[in-house]
Amino acid sequence: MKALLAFCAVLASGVPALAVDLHCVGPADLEIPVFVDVTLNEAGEAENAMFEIQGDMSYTTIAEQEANRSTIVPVSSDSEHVRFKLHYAYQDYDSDVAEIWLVKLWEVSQSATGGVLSVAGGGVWPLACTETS
Amino acid sequence: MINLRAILLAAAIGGVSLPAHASEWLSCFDDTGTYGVNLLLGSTDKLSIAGIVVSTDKKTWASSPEYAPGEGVQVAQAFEDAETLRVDLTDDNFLINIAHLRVFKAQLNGGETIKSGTLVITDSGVWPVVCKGE
Repeated sequence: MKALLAFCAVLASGVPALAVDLHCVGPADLEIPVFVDVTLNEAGEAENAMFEIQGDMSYTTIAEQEANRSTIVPVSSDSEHVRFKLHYAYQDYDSDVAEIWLVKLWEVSQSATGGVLSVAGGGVWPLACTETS
Repeated sequence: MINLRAILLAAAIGGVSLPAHASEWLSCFDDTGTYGVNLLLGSTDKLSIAGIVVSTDKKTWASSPEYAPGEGVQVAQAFEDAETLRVDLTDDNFLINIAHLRVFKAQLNGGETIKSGTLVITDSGVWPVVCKGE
């Protein structure tokens, strides 16, 4: 019965069964540390996202955010399962915040994802990603 | 009628060679610097790949021994636009896929362009890569 309840709870949570969490970082030799966390649903669409550059520029789409992060909203998400082009703006849609472009490739069962982060007025960074599902 | 064979013979005797105005190597490697591809790019405003070296920890492929020892490799298809660079490489006979490179590009206010994406080397693996001009 407990197992059934747990199963129902997972279903009710609305979390896609095959959602993927991508954790992307800039190269280790960068002077400015940068990271991006993006959750992709089973359709390959971006859901929650959070990214931070050296702690100064920190953004999240998650409503229950930490106080020091700016809230952003997804403007567009163009996914072809191998290429993800994500575009974010501030909550009022008044100005762009960032674009994240990622590409995923496979070799047999192994995959890798990498791309670029472009932050309006902030800079551009290469990204290498690891994923968990 | 123009005799193509005669023209080629004359060019060979005269020491005429194909122009090689390649300007820089673009190196796309994983974070260990072990797995990657070097592309010698021409100086035209269109993507033109004049030389190739593909590297792993166990094997190297090169489009010419001038660049590195190893088995042959050549471009199967390649495409570049303002946002992407896509290159597929095969063996000399177009029979075996050797590598696939997919890169996104981003530019800061008309300044430096960064290039980063993923690289597959057949039977070796797949890696996120960062590209740098040399």
